[in-house]
Amino acid sequence: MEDYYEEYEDYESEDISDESLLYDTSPFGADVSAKSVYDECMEPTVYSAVDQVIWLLFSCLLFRILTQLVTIPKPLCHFVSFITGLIGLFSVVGPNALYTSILGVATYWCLVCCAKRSFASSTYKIIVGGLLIYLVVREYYNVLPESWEQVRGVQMIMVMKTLSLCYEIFDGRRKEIPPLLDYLGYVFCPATVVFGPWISFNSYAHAFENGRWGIGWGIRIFATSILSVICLGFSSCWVYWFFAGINLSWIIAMRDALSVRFSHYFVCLMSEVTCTLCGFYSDDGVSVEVTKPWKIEFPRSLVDVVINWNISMHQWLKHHIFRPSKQMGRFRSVLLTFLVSSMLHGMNFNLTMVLLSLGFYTYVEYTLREKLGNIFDACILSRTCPPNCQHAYKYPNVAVITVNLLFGFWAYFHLAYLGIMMDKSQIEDEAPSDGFLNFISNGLKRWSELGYASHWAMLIVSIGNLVI
Amino acid sequence: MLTSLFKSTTFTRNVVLTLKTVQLSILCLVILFFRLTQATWWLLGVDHNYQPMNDMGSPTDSNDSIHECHKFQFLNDIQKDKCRNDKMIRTLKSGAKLGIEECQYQLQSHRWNCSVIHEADNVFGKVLTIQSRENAYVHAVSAASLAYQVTKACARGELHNCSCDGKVRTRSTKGKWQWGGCSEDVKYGADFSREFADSVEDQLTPDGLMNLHNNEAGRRLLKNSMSLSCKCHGVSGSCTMKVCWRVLTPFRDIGDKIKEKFEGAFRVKPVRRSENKPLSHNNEKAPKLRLKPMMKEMKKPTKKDLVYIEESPTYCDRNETFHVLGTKGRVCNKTSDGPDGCKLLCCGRGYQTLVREGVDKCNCQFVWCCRVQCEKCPYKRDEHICN
Repeated sequence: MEDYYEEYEDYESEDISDESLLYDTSPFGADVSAKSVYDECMEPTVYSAVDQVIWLLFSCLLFRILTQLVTIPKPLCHFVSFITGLIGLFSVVGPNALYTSILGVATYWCLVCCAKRSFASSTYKIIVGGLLIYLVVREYYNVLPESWEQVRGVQMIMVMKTLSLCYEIFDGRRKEIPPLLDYLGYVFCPATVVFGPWISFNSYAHAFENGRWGIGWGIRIFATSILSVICLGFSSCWVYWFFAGINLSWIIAMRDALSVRFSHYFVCLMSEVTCTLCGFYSDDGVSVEVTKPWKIEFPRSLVDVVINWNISMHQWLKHHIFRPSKQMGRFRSVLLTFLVSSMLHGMNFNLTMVLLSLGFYTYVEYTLREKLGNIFDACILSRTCPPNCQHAYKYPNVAVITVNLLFGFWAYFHLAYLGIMMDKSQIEDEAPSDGFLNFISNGLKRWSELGYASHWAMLIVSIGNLVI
Repeated sequence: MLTSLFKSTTFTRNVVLTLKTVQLSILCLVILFFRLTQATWWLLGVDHNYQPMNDMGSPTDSNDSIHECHKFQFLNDIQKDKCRNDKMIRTLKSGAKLGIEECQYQLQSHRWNCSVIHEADNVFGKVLTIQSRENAYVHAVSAASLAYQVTKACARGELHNCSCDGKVRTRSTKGKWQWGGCSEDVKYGADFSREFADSVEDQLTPDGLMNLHNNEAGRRLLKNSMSLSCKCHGVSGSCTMKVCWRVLTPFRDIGDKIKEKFEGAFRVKPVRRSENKPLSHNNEKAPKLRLKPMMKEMKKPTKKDLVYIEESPTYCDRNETFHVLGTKGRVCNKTSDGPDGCKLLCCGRGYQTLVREGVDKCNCQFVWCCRVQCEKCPYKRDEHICN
């Protein structure tokens, strides 16, 4: 039959492109059944995800068996960590991991600079700036953009690890840098290399002394993985099925933001699985907890959301950026923290807008609620009051509950608005050379469709805040 | 010697008789052959007694064996070879049925409404021997429906030969799985439909060329409607893991698209390649046929457009030779200006108005717990029937 088609050569050449990739419109019609959602969306999604993650989990288990079941000398532990981490990284990310591994090894050189005798605080800042600028350049210089998009998160974790060690030396808590093998084991540890939360070097070193194998460990791993798969299913399939056939722009924004948040929970829960599988525990002996979904879905305030979004990253930022820069004034240090956070993410345009907005929002909210709490002497602050607070009106008071609930809805509204920016950060990456203003207006398209409602609302509130 | 033989009368009679039998048998063979080539695989969508099938899960299906296909005389060898096991038979049946149903839905307000003729070998009757627009539509939609059902079955891992099989899922093909869900299923469905449905068409004849083009148009429209929905997962929204799944648009949407192409179908005429061009290297006796637009200034049809060669008959009057049912007795819509309006549907013959009485369910309420209680409302409606 082939030569039949070449007869039509001088007919209009049809674009036989591949199927269109569907990213933002709803994939389900209005009357699709739950069973077909399960068959066509849930099953392939779960199969595909398990397919990509299974080798990482195996290498985590291998790491634990080799280093904690039997006692082997420390250098060998670090070597095992390095090798299993490489296996895990390459299995999930694929060949793009090569560049990342090279970077991971090369950051040791930064550490060496840190440890020089003539160390001054400026060197610390230079190194911080240097690494962050690398990330930003990588994002915008558009070299191998697809591979960058894939390893962006991994590189962020690596840079955070390097910077934390640098800071410890700067702070004086660590006298000298760890040897190369230890460092490689730390950076490439399979528990944290791909999705992992940032852990401190001490936590990493302590893991080898942990021998706790119990039924609780197994149950926790099993339960967390089931939960993470459920979150994955929600993010990919069920959220779209639930809101199928609805065309209101705000409902769609809420739906997309839900999808983004559940994708985040999936990644964080998966990182908890890898950590627990490798035998990592937090400093107070309980399992590592990276996120608290219920505090984000039923928020008390945006501050609470930011804290519980990624607890380890929040700790890192608080420790290494916020506290040292407090002398610059509260507003500036908050903005600096969010700036550094967005640079860590490579200054991806969408993310930067979200983080900057969030910085502004949390500041306004925090000061407003503090002022209101002082005026009315009630527990309506951004963070839950400690049990022994001095306020006249406390928790069981109906007015307090109502006000907190209202603030919660307010926070949820902003969450929906901000979340949609994260939804398709992957495609439509027009090169910046397309015109800077064009680039910005394309990036802000989704917000402009909603009329920048959230920004205007917050602006009004902040003016009110200044007045009070 | 020979002349003496010819002069013998008995010999002459025998010769004449033999010639006559040979003539008759040739005629029979021609008719048989003609009838056989008219019978099509669409018959899979109606059951053996030429009644449309009502359910797919009847118990007799499970007794289908691998030789079931060989019982179907309307399939040629290639088609019999393709239908190997009962899952495939079920898929083929559902594909044919889906095509017939979609055609009847889309053309329900037209004069020819894709009606199934029970005595006909090719399901719709000899009307499809006319290479009309309706013929083009039927071919396109049936090729698309077959590809659609095969794709669906493949994506669910129900077919053994396609790479989305459950066994194959656990194997490597890491590249394909990681970034495409299973992208092989659409290709498999289209290829299967091409090999199955196109195998009866002869590209050396005008109607074969036309059917081949329309089949491919249906498949192309299907391919363009299938899309892949992907989501990225990773720290801070990066794309560390990409998870994709195939969105199967409902076949109604694809039927709508093919109907749009039907409305704007291109009229073409078959031409032979001119004698000035050198013969192709496999020097067949007849130069190749092509389909070109009717007039010079007409736009050339793309591979996604439907083409037809002959103008459709009016379908107004009943015609037994072509199995056209005519529009007498059809229900028409008095207020519509479209093809189902009484002016067009009844072909100017006018209509009669009947009063239909009946009882309808109305004022339905949900009663706790847990049923719906409805009242009965009698109604009288006007129904317009064409003369």
